[in-house]
Amino acid sequence: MKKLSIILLILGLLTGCSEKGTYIKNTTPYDEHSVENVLMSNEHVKLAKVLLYEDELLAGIRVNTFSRFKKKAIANKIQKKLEREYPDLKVTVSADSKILLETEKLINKKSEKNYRKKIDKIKSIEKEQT
Amino acid sequence: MQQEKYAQIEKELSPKPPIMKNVIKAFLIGGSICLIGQFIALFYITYFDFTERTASNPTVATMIFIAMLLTGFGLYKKIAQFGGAGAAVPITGFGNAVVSASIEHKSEGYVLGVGGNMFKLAGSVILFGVFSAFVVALIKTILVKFGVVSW
Amino acid sequence: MVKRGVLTFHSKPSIYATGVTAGPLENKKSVFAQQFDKSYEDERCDLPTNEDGHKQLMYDAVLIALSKAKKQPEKIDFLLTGDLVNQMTPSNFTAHALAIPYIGLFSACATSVSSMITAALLADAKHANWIVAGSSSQHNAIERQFRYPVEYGSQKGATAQWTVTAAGAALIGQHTQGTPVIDCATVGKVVDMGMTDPLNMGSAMAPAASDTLMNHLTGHGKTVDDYDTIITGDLGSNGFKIFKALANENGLPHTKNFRDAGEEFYGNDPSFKAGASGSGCSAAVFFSDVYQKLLTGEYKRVLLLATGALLSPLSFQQGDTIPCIAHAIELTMEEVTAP
Repeated sequence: MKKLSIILLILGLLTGCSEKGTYIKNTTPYDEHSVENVLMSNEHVKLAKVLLYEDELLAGIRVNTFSRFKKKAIANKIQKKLEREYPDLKVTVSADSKILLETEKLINKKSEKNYRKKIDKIKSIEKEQT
Repeated sequence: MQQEKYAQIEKELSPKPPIMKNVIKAFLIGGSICLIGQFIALFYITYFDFTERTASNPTVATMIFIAMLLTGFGLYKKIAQFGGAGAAVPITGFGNAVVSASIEHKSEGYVLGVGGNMFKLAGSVILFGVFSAFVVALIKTILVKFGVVSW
Repeated sequence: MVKRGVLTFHSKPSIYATGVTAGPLENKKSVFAQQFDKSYEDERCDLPTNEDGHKQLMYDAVLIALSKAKKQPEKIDFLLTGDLVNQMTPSNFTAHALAIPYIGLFSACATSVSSMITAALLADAKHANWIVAGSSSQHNAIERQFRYPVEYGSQKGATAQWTVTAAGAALIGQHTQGTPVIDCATVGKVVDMGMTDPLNMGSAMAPAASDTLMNHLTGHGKTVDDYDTIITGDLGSNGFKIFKALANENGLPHTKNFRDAGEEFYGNDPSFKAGASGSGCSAAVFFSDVYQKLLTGEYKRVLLLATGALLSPLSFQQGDTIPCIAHAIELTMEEVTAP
């Protein structure tokens, strides 16, 4: 029993969050390389899912565990940088895991039918304060 | 016999509270309650339209609801006897204080009994919680004004 | 010369019968459960409130004591009872239901003995033939009175005691052979050693118990060895330990025959921390275990030393210390002389 709990504890510590990197889905003629550059150059970002669709740039990011306290500032910084890179796009960057989750869902979708509606929905819940 | 002398004898013979043991127990119980809360928050984020920020409200309500059931079935006091501060500090401890006072004073009627005594124990938590939030916000506002920190 | 607080009853009033009622938890956990006369399935005795149940405990205990002596309430001259609820309403309602002339007594958890002392005084002065003395407590009602709501989760330390749900009543009358008789008693002084923790009442009460014990022994010229047992009311394991240490310090090296009702009540079960407390605790043990051991001859002479913490929720919240009292009463079982 004691050994089992120690093994479970170690496994729990090791597995944590292992997904890393930047995943980008681009359905627009814009070049997505500068997105990757901006995200990868920030040392706090662990995982990012980015979707470019029509005039929208949606980015959900996950920051390193100990950077979580300032994750809002990190997201704001990235947002400003991306806005400079893509002046024609409406940029939304959020460190909230809900945004990451929903963006990932959209990326994995086969058809682009409901993208507009979904993106509007994500942007609206991202703005909610309470 | 003098009071001081008796206080000395009493101190020698009375059992000492096992502080280290209590701290570990409080850590385990408090940690477990927060872990359950985290799972509930994740549930709301995954299956409903809540973000990390907005999920805290339904999570708190759910935790209080669970604490209410545990209090009513007489289980929360057993958890608290084991966990001490670990069971009192999370929001479930607040729920327990409100619900236990309500149960206790139900026999005096709903208006003067339940209504009047519901916050008998939790009232000071609300008062000093609001007051300390005010003080912290005031300090932060001043610091932002002087440019020491940003929002 | 009259010694202050020291009483001798020359007519030796008798304890004819006793009645003890207890709640469901006590019936399950108490080591004395077999000796209780009645226990309830429900801690409120199937009544709407805890205080109603508290009243029912006391009422039934009195009726059981009377029925054992085949007496009706109309034949009883005085009812002397007390409890710990505000203004002693459970006792007052009991007195109304029984319609016996009544004096409510408050000595906190020492009421079991203070009521017996008063009853013995009335009987000794031939003011009454039959007197009922007793006290009671109900866990939920008393916890609410003195501490937090019952379901509130607060961590209790190792010195905390558990208020019992129990009541005890004794029918006291003029001297009769073949019954335990009240020999003498000592009324205690209030002793306050500056203790302030209401969750450590044992150590607050121990000095009062020790003070009254010394007064009783010197006042009546007795030694500890004269008694088969000296049983304190509800000091709990911690208070009892301190009480024995104080006795040693006062020149009483042998404490083998000392007992504590509070410590023994739940059989040292650690989930009850330091043991039992409440005015029903001493009454239930004195009127069941001790009384029956006197009847069977196992004990010839005992000293009941009930202790009470005279605090109120207001007084300790205002930072006052806990004043405590202890009363002692000596019971003997006389050899029945063949006619």
